[in-house]
Amino acid sequence: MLRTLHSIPALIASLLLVIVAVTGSVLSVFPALEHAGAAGASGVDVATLAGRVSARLPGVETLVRQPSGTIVAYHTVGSEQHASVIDPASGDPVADYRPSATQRWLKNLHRKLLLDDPGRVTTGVVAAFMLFIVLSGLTLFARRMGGWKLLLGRVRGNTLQRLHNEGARPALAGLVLSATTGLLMSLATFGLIPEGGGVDPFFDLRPSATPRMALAQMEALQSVDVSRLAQLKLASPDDPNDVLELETTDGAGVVDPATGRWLAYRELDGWQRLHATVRMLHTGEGLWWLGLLLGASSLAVPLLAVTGFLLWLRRRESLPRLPDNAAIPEADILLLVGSETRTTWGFAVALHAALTRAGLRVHAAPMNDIAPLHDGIRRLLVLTATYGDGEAPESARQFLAKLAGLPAAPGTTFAVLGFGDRQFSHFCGYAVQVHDALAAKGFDALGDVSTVDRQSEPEFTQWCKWLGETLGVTLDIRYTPLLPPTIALELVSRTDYGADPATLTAVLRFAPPSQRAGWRRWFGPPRLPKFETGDLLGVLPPGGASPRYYSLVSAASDGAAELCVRRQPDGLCSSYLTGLSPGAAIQAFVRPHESFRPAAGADPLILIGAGTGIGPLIGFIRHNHTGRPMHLYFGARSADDGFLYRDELNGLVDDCRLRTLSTAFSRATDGAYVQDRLLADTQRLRAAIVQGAQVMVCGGRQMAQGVAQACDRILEGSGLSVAQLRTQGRYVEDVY
Amino acid sequence: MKHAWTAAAVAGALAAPSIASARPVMFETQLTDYGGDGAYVAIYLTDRTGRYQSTLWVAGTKAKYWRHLGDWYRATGGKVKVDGISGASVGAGKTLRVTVDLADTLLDAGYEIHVDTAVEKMKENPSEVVIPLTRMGTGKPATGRGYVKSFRYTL
Repeated sequence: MLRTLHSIPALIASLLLVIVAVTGSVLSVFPALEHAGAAGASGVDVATLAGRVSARLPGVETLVRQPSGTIVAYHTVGSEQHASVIDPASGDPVADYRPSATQRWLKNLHRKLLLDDPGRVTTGVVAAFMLFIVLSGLTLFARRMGGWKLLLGRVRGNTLQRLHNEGARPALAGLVLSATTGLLMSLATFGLIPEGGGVDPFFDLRPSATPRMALAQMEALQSVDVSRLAQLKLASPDDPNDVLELETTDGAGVVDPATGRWLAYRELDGWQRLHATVRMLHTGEGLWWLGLLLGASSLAVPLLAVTGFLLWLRRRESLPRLPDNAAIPEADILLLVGSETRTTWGFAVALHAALTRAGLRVHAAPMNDIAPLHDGIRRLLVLTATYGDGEAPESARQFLAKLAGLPAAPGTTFAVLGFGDRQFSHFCGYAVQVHDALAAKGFDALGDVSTVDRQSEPEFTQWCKWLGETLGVTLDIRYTPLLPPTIALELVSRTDYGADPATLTAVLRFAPPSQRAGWRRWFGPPRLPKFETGDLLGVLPPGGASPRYYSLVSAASDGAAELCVRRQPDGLCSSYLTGLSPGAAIQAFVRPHESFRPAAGADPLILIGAGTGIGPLIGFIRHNHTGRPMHLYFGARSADDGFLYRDELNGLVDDCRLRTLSTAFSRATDGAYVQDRLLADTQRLRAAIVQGAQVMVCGGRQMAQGVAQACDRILEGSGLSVAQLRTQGRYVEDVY
Repeated sequence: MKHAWTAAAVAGALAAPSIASARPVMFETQLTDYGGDGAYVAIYLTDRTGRYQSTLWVAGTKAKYWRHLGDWYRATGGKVKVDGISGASVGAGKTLRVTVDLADTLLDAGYEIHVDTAVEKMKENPSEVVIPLTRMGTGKPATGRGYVKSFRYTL
């Protein structure tokens, strides 16, 4: 809900927000420039200044001090009015005063879109939108980070999410200040808050005598330092009844030209002071450094608008169409989905449709969207996958933190169905965590955690049957797997490794077919989709219902999609792929894997892999054109069997893209695993990690566990641990 | 270019007793290209001692800025009713043309026309034009001390 409240106003106002923000940024530079150009006038009082100026410019009528400190004198020469910039030290006119036309145009674009009142109203509304968007965004950000105290922590998520959140974080305070002060100025313009100073100006005050005193002698003017001057209007030489009018930063009054004393003086009232402060904070006029900070903050707005729009689009695309999705206030069942690859959403859509057909009102949403439950919601159904070692999948990353902050909802029942792969040690581990957290929160479990192994439709249908019986309805489940659109890829070449054909490993290189079919050929040859080394290629074997994922060795810029595939006994997809001949086509799609990328910078990379896990690691090494220190620990069965990329690795060492190569062969006479090689290098590795190296592990689950244990041993006594490094993104795994 | 016509006769004792003894008078105020935002302009009538008599036109609709039209504001306290004799502010280099019905008795009777001008963040010019309202003066341009490049009235 809050997300909708954040994104809808932003979408509507984005263009105007960008105009107002960018012009604001440009305008923020002017006060700093003026400040740099203004001659200092500290210690000079207004009487001295006025005396000096009137000696140099006999026709001077008015002296104005700009907020930047520039002194401008308006004087008449003949019948023409002139404005000159004054050097306060001498009173000499140093230049004609010409306010910048560009600045005025920008200001009018900024504050009224070059229109009159309709433009002023619009920018006022834009300021209100901005304030609302920033505050709702800040709240979303705090939720994302897991609480207000963690606002400064590391932002997790994909590139777009990180750009949006990390771009917003340093700008938030500036944007709040700009929007709030802008809104106050707008409200004051339209009289919706008092401006103060309602009392009339001083009328009918006359000089006490005729001969006028010299300006430099006037006591009232002597009492005001030039830094506090706003404007001084001198008494007209033609009108003996005229008086001096002096405005300062604190008040305004009238001075007797005969005595040089105040005839009347009035301090600014509270509202006037407030608006003067608001004005200074908004424009940076008189506070140039703040202006620059605000201007820099505003520069984030175009970035935030674009990334926000793309995130909104991506989110819309990532959620399946649920035509009968009940609105939250009308729902009696909340169906929460934790999905990494959308496959779980396929099941959720089927369940949602069946429940709706049974007459129940169901609201389905990603688990991250959980919000306080209203009384009407009686049941909570959670379908969730598990990511990695019992971690939350993409659409559930913030769930447990958000759940902890919710009020209890007594009387609400729940059921959790976990999706996973029984081969993994933490099968449905996250589903169990969610079940326990809901129970601890006081929800009543309808039953134990149930599981679905490898998208098994019968297991899912069986659970739905149980659910229907528990809820007292009949559920008619019609499941179709939900998959992203696939593209055709042709096998270009293959290199085989391994002695035993039953477990051979193949390096496969795919490229798009050279020509499209039918009318599509007019659009030229097909291109590879975008992907980076370490992303995953989802492959649908013929006759298989669910895809299998393989880590990509190459990046799209290499012109081919390269995979390392080891034939598994009874493996449907691996047998299919390793059985392909060049020219054969597969159906595949790309899934980004942004958490498994080398961190930016020049810190060393420690790459650890076994078997086909070498794939993405050698991809990173191939792309190491900057000579960043990379160290590879590679495990295989033996030097003759399964030593993938042997020749290429040696070549990479020779041209310094790979600093060191350590191999461990388990079936050699002195058989060893990669962890043994790591432990042997304990001192060197500990020093590198302490100094900022990133560890990337790719391979089978058992190997990864062994490596993590070895790394914890290596780090003993260093104050660091693998768990800590994981939270900093300095220990990342691609495990299968 | 601004052009306005008002049927409202100047109020009070000065107003024409009947439309027969009044005439439309056009006031044309051309501003210099002073390089600022729209100018607030007040055109009003005083007697020969400078005492305020009546407002002829106010350009600039936000009453809170009227205090910057110094002499006019001092005389009226800004509380004068300007329905029908006010309009938008006048841009730099633009010309304001307004027509007001004036009683014949005001001509050649010692009355003076004043023009006050003010521009945001720029100098204020109270009474930058002061010229007598006479039959002889019709069509004769006067120059102001501030933003008024040329001011004239046509009987």
